Amino acid sequence: MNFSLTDQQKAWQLRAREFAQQILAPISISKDRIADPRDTFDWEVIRKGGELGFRTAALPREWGGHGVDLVTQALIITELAKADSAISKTFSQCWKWSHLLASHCSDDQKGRFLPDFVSDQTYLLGHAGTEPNAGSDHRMPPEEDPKAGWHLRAERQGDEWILNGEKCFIANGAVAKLFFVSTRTNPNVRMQEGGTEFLVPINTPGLRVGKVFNKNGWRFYQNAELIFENARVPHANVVGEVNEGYKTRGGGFGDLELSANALGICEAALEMAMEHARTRWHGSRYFKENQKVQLMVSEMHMFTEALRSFVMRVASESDVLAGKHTPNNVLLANFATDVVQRVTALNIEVHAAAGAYMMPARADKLARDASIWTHLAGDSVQRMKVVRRMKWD
Amino acid sequence: MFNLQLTQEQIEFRDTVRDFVRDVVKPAILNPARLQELPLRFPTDILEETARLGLRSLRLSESAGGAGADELTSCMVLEELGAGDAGVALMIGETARLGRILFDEAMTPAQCEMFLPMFLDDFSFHLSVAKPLPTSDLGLGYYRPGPLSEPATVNAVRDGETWLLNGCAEFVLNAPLAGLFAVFADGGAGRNGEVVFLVPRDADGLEVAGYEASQFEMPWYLGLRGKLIFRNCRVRDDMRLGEHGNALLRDDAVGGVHIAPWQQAINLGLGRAACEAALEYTKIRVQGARPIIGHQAIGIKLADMAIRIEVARTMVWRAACALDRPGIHEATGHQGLPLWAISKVYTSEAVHEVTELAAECFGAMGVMRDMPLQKYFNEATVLLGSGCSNSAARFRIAEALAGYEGHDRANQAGM
Repeated sequence: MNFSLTDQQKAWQLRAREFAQQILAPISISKDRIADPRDTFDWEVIRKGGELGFRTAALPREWGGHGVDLVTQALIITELAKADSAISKTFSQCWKWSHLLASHCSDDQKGRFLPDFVSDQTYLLGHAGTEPNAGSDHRMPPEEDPKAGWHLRAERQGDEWILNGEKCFIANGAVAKLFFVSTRTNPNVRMQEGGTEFLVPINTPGLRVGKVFNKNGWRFYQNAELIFENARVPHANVVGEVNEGYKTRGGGFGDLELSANALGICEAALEMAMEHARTRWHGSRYFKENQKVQLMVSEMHMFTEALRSFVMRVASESDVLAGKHTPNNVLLANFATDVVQRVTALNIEVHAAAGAYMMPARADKLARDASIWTHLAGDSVQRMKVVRRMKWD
Repeated sequence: MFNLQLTQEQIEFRDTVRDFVRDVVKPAILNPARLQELPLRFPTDILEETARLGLRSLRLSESAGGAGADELTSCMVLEELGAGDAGVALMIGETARLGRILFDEAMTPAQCEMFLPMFLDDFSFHLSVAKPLPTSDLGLGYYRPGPLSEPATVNAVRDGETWLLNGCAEFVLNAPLAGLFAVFADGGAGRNGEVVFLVPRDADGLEVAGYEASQFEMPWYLGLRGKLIFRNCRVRDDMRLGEHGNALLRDDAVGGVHIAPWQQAINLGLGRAACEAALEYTKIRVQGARPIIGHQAIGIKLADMAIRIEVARTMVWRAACALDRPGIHEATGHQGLPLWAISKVYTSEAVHEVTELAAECFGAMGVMRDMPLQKYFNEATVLLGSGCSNSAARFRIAEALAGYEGHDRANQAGM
């Protein structure tokens, strides 16, 4: 096995690192501290990152992107997340839906949307799935309740579809120009047989952004309500076939993305803990000379390296399997959830070990960002789903 | 056997505070606008409402005008208050505990006469003690000879019948709202020269400053703390406290190893509030074709939360009973085991886990700032690492098991 990076992979990693250190790190805390969740966003940062290729990195070259492989995507996500996890996610969210655009959209759809996506540095992508009554239900549809899942209705009217309902917690909801939207075209059968996926631009008549959610962590990342009131979407925007929306569920990129991001947080926490232990002293001893501190930092290293190995293995495996995902992607995301929460908690403990009445703002932010993971990955549903997919005999 | 049967009086007292929290504290504190403030403002309005209930004099003897509650009753009451707002509970708890130590034990009759009427009449009058911080040696002096706290950072120089105080005391709980301070000062003969003075807030030469969050760091405590700055502050010699009071104020394990677990009772209350919120929600939220409480994955979490809360409470009450009824504990447990330390470690770690489990039961709403779960999670995280650390507590336990005697008398709990 060859664990080394190619020159091209290293080049992207270093470019991301420079952007992270120079542009993201200086604004990370101040953005996080802004009270109104709509104001935590920063278009300048998006523009600058876009110019460096971070918005379109995952789009295939033939469509104007950089077509970097999954290992490179993971490397970039980690470098950006080390400076600010939420900003990293804002960029990689575009890759997630770039993958879907490339793999499931028709040439006509690509032709209509991709040129703008590529050229406009403020063009972000999103996906509208979750609804107030479809959280776990759309991720793990219950057999006993065929009506469960997406309720956003889509009804055909001539050459258009009329959408009614609401989506909530939608990532990039307040800032994206184009969404994949999961609808229920047949409410009388299961979601898996009665759902249809649409491409819906933000300027669709009848679509508006509602509440922007005020989160405890990932505050730069914009999660919003999308409200559809007789919104009119052309039939040409159906992705794949009507009632086959379930087939457009993305590959394992989402899990890899979250895990690479978590790795960035772990690296940040580890760096803080080492710095603290190395530079603080009392009496005649540096903090790092204490066994208790050594044990904590050792555990942080162990988990961070294990996560790094798992991320790179899954990324590399996925490149070989051409994006098809295996249970490893999901197991990775579940592991990343446990690791990022443990490592950020240990970082706080290293800073508080002598009894603390002040805490570095960054240590607190890393822990709050880490707390988001349970609500994206690594919750009970995620852990049960992956095992249900495996061969049991 | 330690008796956990509550008296009628204790039950009524607890229920009064529980109703107050349900009707007054929670609606105000859990208001979405207030939850979303950034930076969060301390709810002084709720603190005053709590004071009006008489809780500042919870521990003060009845003969002095207080409720005369013992340690166990006090822990029960503070748990209820902690379920409303932990920061408010910590400030009330500190004033209550100092009320008993100062007015009932440490002050002379003359000193009492000077300050007790003011304390009883004014609902905004809080008490505060500026004492040395625990040693910042990260090894926490484990199994090595030496003191467990830093020397006092305030100097006192004798000048006839008065003393001149100079220096700063940091992170003093209740300082921004205290009317009276008990101040530890270095009287000149090193640790043996430690003296404690009563200093009213309006003393000439005393400034009280606050702490703010900056780009780089933020306060890591609940309730309000302040910095006392002394510049040639003149204090009369008859405002000194005696040695008995010093020891109680320093949280020394006087006459034994027992320190009051009141802060753990508050932490426990916070955890219980998170549990109760999760239980209520899981009964009504429907996903997976039934209220989610009907799913094994949720059932396990609810059980794990309940186990942690019940065990934490048992330990808090056991530590409280050891103070109320010292003889009982000596007969049952390992001699000299610091129950406060065991309670501190277990409660803070258990409650932190409970708030994570509870938040997960709420799905995405567990991380939304306009909802209570993130408040409980953030506060449990602070309480886990604030003040006396769990590392220090663990080392004190190990030393007690070993019978180690290399530390001189000093600030044990460092809280």
